[in-house]
Order: sequence, then C-alpha cells, then structure tokens
Amino acid sequence: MRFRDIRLDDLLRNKASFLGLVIIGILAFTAIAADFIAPYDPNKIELDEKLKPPSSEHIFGTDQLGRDQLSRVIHGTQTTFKLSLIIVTITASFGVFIGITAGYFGGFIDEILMRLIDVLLAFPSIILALVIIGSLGPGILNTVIAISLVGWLYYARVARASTLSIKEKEYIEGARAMGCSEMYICTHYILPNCLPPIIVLVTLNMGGVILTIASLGFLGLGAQPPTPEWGTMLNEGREFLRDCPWLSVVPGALIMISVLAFNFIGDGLRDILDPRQQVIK
Amino acid sequence: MLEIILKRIGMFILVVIASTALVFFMLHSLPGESAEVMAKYIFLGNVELTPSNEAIDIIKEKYDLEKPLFSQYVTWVWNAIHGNMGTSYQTNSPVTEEILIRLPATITLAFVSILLSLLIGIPAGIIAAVKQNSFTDYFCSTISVLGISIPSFWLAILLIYVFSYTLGLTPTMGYGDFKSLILPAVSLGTPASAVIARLMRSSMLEVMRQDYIRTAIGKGLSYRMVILRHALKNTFIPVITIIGLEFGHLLGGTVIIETIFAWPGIGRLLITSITARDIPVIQGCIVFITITYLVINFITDISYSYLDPRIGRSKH
Repeated sequence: MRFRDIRLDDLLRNKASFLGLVIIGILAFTAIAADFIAPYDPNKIELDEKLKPPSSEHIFGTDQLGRDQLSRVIHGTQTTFKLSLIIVTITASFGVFIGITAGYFGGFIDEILMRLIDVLLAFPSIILALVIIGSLGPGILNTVIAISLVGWLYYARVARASTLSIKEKEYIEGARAMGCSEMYICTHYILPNCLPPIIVLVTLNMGGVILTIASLGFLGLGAQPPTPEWGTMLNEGREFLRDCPWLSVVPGALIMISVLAFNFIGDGLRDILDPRQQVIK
Repeated sequence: MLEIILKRIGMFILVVIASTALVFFMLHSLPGESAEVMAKYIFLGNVELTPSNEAIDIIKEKYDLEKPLFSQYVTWVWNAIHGNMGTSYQTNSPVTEEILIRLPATITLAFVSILLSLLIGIPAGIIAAVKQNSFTDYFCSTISVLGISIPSFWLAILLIYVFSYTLGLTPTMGYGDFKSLILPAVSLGTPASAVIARLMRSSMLEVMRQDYIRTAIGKGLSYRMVILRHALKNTFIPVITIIGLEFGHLLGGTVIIETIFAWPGIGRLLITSITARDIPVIQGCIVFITITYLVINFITDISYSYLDPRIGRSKH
C-alpha cells in the first residue's frame, strides 16, 4: 500500500473515522478561530460573577475567578492543538530521520541508536516525561521538551522497520544503478514509501500526546495558570467539584472527545492500510 | 531455555544500569541549581528565600557536588546497592525509608486495579469475539474505545462526583479500608481493561481462524469445549505481553490517581518531590518504578517464551 493509495473517500466510508474527522474538523476550526468565536476574554476576571452555573449568558458557567468557562475552553482547544501539533511535528520528523538513517545505513550507528531506544523504552512513558520535568521544572516549554524527548522513539522504530524492508526492494537497486546518491534515495524513495504507517502512528499518537499534555497540566507540572489549558482547568475546577461540577465536566469531556476522535481516525486508517486486520475486525 | 534466560538476565542488568545512569545524569545536569535548592531547605527551611553563597558552598562540599558527575553516579550506585539512596531535602529522612513506607499503598492499588482490569477485560474480549458482529460485540467494542480514550483523572473526578458527593457511598480520598480503595482502583483499572478487552478480542478472532480450531470443531468437540480448551490458551500469549505493558502504564497512572485521592503511595511522593525539586527522592522514586517495570517485563518475557516455545527458538 502506497501513500497515494490512502484515499479520503475510503476513510469517509468508515462511520467511526468519518465522525472522527468531523470532530477534529470542528475542534481545529475552534482552535484557529478561537479569538473570534470566544464570547469573552478568557482571562478577564469578574469576581461578582464567580462560580455561576451554566446560563444563557455563560453557556458553561463561570469559574472561581468569574472567567467565562466557554471562552476558556475554546482557548484551551487552541493551547492543546497548538502544543500537540508542535510536539507531533518535532517527534515525527526527528524519529523518521533517525529511523531511516539507522535502517538504511545499518551497522554501528544502527546498533547504538537501537540500544538507546531500548533503554528509553524501558521507562513507562509518563515517568520519563516526569524525570525531564523534574530536572527542568514545570511549564509549557518544558512540557513540549519532555513529551518530544520521549515521543520520537516509536516513530524511529516504525521508520527503521519499514526502511529495512524497503531497502531490499528492486527499485532501490534500480535507483542506485542509475547513480542516485544515498541522500537522494533516502529522501525520494525510502521516505515516501515508509510514510503510510507513520501517518497511522501520527493520528494515534495525537490522542496520546493530548492526554499527556492534559495529565501534566492536571498535575500542575504543565501549562501554568492562568493559561487556559484543559488539564490545568480540570485541576483548578476539582476544588469546586461538589458545588460546581461543570468546571470539571466540560474540560474533561473535551479531552476525551478529541482523544476519541483521533483514535477513530487512526483505527480507520489502519484498516485501510492493513487489509488483513480488516478481516479480523 | 536456560541460555535464553541467562541472555535475558544479561540484557536486563544492562538496561537497569543504563536507565539509572540516564535518570541520574538528567536530574544532576543542573548542579548549581540543585545545591541552591538544597541550601534553601537545609539552612533556611524555606524555598522562597535566597541562600547565601557560603551556604551553597557548604552544601556542595557536604554532598560532593563539586566532584565530576560520573564519580557521583558511581558513589550513588554503590550506596543504592547497600540500600542507601540518600536523604530527602524536605524531611531529612532516608529516601529508602520514604519509599518503603509508601510501598504497600501503591502495591495494593496497582494489584487490585490490574486484577479488576483482567476480570472485566478478559471475559468482555472473549464474549465480543465469540459473538462477533452481534449487538454484544458492538456494545463491548464501543465501551472499550470509550475506555481507551477516557482520561483516568477525569474518570476519577466523575466517579467522585457521582459516588461520593451525590450518592455518598464512598470516601472522596484517604487510605485504609476497602471502601476507599474502590474509586481509585476503578479509575485506574477501567482504561487498562479496555485495552485488554480489545486485544483479547482481536487475538481470539485470529486464533479462531487457525486450522487446529477447524480440526477441533471438525472432530466433533462442542463449541464451548473448543473455546475453553483450544482457543483460550493460544489467545493468552499476546495478552500476557500486553498485561506486562499495561502494568507499566498503571505504574505511571498511579502517579495521577494517587494525587487525586490523596493515596499515600509512591506516585504521590514523586509528584510532591517534583514540585519541591527534592532530587534524591525524585531519583529514588523513578529508579524504583523503572526497576519494578523492568522486572515485570522480564518476567513477562520469560513466561512468554515458556508458554510459546516457538518464540524463544526463533531468536537464535
């Protein structure tokens, strides 16, 4: 299965993936247009209005400082999507680069890189992120660093595995016979051919990254208040859970919906790319 | 078999050394700051004040922070092997002691959660596979996708709201009796059970298409017998690996769940230490969690090649 064989209509035919795409579309639009859709300023404090239940004025109520929950959630979408896109871009490109290098050239470099990956994978992933936050301190930038340092491992493994099988193909031999440089072969033959599994991994990984960002925010180690971020909001709202459950329900529901949507798309893509799995399903 | 086990043990020891070194160098790559934080705690008892340069120098002297990192690491490993992982900046008590006090709480939580996830996940996966494409199958599959996507901390908050605040059945936090264990275990076990159910289902469906299952049905065994005697045993092989992996996730998950429920375990200790930048405790907790995880994976690996002799042989 090649990259150009992933057709959008195959994906749209799968009901779950279609739903996933629609949800991500809506959330992505919300993230991009956050400044225009949000009815209020997400950081505007109005103590007279604090902890108001949902009403026509404030659809999701207001928080402990009287900030409009809907506006905060909308800007939270922006924070989360921006961070996860940055992280996935960094990790996927770095991981694929390392994976192709290791797989194509093999030998000593391959051995060293793969052992390094083995060691890093020996940690439960959130624990490794916590070590990094532990040494760098809490904050948004450190969240990105921590998750990225852990995240590239899987991409490197998948890219390496694909490269190992692709480099034995006849067209690579053909390219070499034509006098293509190693660099050209890697970027023009290996890279496009190892993309399909990487794309599946990207969609499935987006969900995981969103969850990790939210977890770190929830633990008070990620985005710091007053930044609107779902996990951080959930943590702030937890104190008022008994009387103001909407403060905890809304951000949590959004985390779940976005993770669910990415999982739906990822599952759909995997079915298209791996027909054997489809039979099993 | 013995050769495989020895090889795995060798690999295991290497990974333990490498991973502890990694944690050590990562946490100690900022020596100045670490000495400053220590001085704040030890001399001033307060993180807000700024310690004098003399205080920082005394700390550097006392804890050998001036020495090269590598020799610090060797000293640390030597002490750790003898059960001494340093002292906490915050409480001044030995790190080993801090961890051991909290060990029973974390073990109880992790064990009950994994048990719960197996009790739900395995039957759900089997039923979904046996009744493939039925309503039950769709129901189980939908629930398990939801289970994978739900953040455990949000589930915990919802459970607290429903069962503690609204129904008043369980305590919102604390440790001790069985009642206080229910909500943390359910919050941790649910996502794990969803993963196990999904894998169990696909693994079972894969096995059901094998020739030996057709043979078993062909020779006249009842369907129930085929499932119980022939299919289940083979289904468990991939499931065991995932149980090992899930246990690792669970150890990571305890960090969050223990914080929510004020569960006095290692995860909560880790978070409070990270907030206070109490490096020896952070290091102790992480090394402890990692080694536990490695041991579990090691056991999984061994049992894997024991259950399926093909796997051990193919690696030679």
